[in-house]
Amino acid sequence: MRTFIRRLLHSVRRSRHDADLRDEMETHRSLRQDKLERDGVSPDDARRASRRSFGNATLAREDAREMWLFGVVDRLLQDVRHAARRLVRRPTLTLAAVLTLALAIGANVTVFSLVDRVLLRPLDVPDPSGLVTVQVTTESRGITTRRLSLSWANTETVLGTSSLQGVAASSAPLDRASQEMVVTAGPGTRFEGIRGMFVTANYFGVLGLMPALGRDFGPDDDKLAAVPVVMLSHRMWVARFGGETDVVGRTVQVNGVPAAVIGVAPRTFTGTDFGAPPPDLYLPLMTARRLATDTGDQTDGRGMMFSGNMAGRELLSPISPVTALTVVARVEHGLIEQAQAELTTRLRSRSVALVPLTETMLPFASRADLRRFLTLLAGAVALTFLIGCANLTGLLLARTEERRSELAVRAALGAGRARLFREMATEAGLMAAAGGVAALAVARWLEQGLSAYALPGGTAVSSLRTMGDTQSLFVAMFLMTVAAVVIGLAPAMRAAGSAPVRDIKRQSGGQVRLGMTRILVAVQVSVCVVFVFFAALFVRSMANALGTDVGFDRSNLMSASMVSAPGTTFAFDAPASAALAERVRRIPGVGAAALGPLPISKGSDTRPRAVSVDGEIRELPVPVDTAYASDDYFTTLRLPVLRGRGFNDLDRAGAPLVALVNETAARQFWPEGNPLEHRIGLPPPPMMRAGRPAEPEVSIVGVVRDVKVRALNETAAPVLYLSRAQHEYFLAGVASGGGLPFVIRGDGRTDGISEALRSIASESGLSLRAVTTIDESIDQLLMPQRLGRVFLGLLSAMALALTVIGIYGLVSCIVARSTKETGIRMALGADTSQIVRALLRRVFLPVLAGAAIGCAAAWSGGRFVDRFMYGIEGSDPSTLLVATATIITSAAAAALLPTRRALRINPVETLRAD
Amino acid sequence: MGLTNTPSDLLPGTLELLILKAVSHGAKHGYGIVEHLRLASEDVLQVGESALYPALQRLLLNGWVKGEWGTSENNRRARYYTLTPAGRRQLTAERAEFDRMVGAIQGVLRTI
Repeated sequence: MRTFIRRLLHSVRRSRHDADLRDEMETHRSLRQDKLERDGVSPDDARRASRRSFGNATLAREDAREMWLFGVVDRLLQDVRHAARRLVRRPTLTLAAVLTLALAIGANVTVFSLVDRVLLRPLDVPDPSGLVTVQVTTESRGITTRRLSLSWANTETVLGTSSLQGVAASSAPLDRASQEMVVTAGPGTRFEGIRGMFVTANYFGVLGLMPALGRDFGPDDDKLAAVPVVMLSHRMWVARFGGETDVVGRTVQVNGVPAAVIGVAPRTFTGTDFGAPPPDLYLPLMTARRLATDTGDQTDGRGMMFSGNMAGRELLSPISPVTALTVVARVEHGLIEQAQAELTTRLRSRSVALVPLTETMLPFASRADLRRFLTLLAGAVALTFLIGCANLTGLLLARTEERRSELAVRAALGAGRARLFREMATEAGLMAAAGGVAALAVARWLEQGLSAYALPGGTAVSSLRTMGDTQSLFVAMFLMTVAAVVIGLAPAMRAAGSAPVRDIKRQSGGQVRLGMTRILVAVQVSVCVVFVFFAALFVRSMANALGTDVGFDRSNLMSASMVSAPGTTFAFDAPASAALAERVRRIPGVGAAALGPLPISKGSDTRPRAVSVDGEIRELPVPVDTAYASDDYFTTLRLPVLRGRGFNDLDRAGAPLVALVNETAARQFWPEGNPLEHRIGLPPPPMMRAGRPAEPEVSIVGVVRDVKVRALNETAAPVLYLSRAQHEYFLAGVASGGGLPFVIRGDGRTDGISEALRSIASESGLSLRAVTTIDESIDQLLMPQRLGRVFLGLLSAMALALTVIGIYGLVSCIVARSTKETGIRMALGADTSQIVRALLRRVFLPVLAGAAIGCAAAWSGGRFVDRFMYGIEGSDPSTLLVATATIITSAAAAALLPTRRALRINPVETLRAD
Repeated sequence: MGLTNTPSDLLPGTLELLILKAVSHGAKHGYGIVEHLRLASEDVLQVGESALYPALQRLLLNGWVKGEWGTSENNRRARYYTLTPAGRRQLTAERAEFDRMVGAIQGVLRTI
């Protein structure tokens, strides 16, 4: 052990040690010289004699030094030093290699982290597979809807289920009582739009989580009369409270009520719903009565918007403004069926099912999309990694070829095969290691860049928990090792297989062994075709999407909504709304304004309903979207009324109910002809039926053009436009929860409009929600396409660049190795075209083969991206043709330069050179 | 008179034993050790530097001797080696082993 430490110390102070040894030996020699002189030898002779007797001083020193070395470790260090020196001597190659690996590994680390967070382990809790939630399936006239939100009554039943190990409840992400909170933490620090989540005290306990800081909720916190407490999300803590540990114990005001901060939630926990933004605050459920955002009168019908066919009274709790809850429970493996049976009995309903929590963390429809998208992405980055490795293998092989004579000489002089193998392998390993380290920086940078995007399905990348540094390190190291083996093996084998006699002879001409390199070029070309094709698809589809006719004029259009502010009242009736609209219309910069939903914008109020047509309830393939619009809605949107008329000021409460339909509705409901004067019935939601007269039918007074309602690539569905003025009794309830939706057309000057809207809202006792322009909404909708475009664009650019470099390298190598052959051909009278043909045959065979394989792969892979395309097929032949042509042209360009070099070969000089 | 330049001329480990013995009576530098061995063996053992210094490094590494820097007779920088307690133990042990070895060899040679 001591010996080991001394060795270690030695290797640290090696140069000092060497100098000491040299001094010591020199003293020795001079003492001997003195002795000789004393014996009567002349000084010169004495010096010479002393030197002679000393023998080889350097060798002696090296022998002495060897005593201290670690053997294997030291030889390895030596290898690394040599390899590093060789790499530094060729900076371009090294830089290209390291950069390639950094990008390839970095992209893989990033995508792996996405896949890991979304698909593999979406919930970072101990044993996530033991967690379940309750899903309610309802079926109404052939329309099946599933939801995770429960009423209070049902939640209480679930909480009492004895075969579940632990059951916790929380306010559902869509519940308004916990949204739009205002938090004040001392003077001057006021945070608006904070998302809260009311939870039972055992919430974190059931999930198996401990707070990152402070304490968890206790049973005493979750009482009606408890002192209000709050737990911060990790993100809120870092972003708003600077990550200071003394935040625990401080008092903040939540919606004006003082509450003590008791802790900070774990960093990796961002709620259990990917479709919703992660909560900023966690609050005890029973304190909701005091801490919840005021959502207006609780006794009206607003809850029905979210609760389908539940009876109205069930929605409301005497103790809490929270109306929609979700449940999370831990169940022992194997006991899930028993728990399910108990639940079915207790709720007397078959529509309630226990489902694994991780299965529900994304909205049902978007999960498949997301899976497909991430598979596509993962495949793409894995291929990039492959192509990068292929390229580097090619480059290193070419270098080994160049060094063949050197290696042969060394082998002839006695360098062992193992030694040569080790040398090449070390070089590759070193490159891979440098690439891996750089990849971590690339991955960090990519993750930051990505956090602005949303994944298909509406999952914001930024809402996902961040991957642990150790994990990304592990992935990077794994890929690094793979890269080292892949890029190092072939050259190392070849170096080790160096046959001196043959190779030294071969120096004077002969065939070039490039079979491996040519296969690699073919692989690269095929991958490249696939990438460029997909990237081009995304670019074209994006262009198509942006050019889509949405059915109305979208220039300078924006939406805004005003909701009731905490503690104030606004009369949500027709005159008040109309007056508000009039004030909005007079804002400088506003050309027109109306009340109604802005199509294709998030939060648009268009919602599906089942209807009857001419008194007869029809089984419709889809529910009909209904939109409540004010009189000038159609003129504001510049949505043309094709037949009949729009709403006017005669369409008021008391007058006959009127409606407009879109073209698709007209065609579907009345295929025979004129829809005007026909009637549509709107059966009220079941909870509203009791005590109300059946809603009268509306008669159709006009037909408007189809518009895109939810997505740019949707096929038009029936839409029914109702007059806001005629449905005030209904809308009053909606408005207090959903707010007044405005569509506003600016005249180009956009700045100042938000501020004006805000002041109008606050003067009227309302608060303004986000103002969104239609372009922003469309951007939001197109996030997956943009993400795909950015990602595939980058990857395909990289793949193309790599392939071009690879082909250039291959051709250069062929030209260099066949200089003599070419010279002889020229001397024998071959003309230029023959030379070029001979050269290109070797290059273009792999290129064309690769292109053919790539085309086939792209063609069959097209269906993977079909889902993300707008107005273009996933297997669009013209795009494929263009992509293939691009790559073949690039390959030709890459081959051109070295080929010209071949043509400049002077036969006489070449032949003389040997 | 051949130069006993390589340790192989001696029994394995003998050179180390001789060096340990040489420095056991007081600090000596490399040249001093060589001279001591030469004089003590009446010019039979002439240790070459190329054998001496690796051996010294080995002894240093094992912690049997320690070196201190001082000035040589001709005013140069020289390392003076002294025996450590571990070195003294090693000397005793090696000496016993050597005696046993020599005894064994002599026993063989004495047979007719």
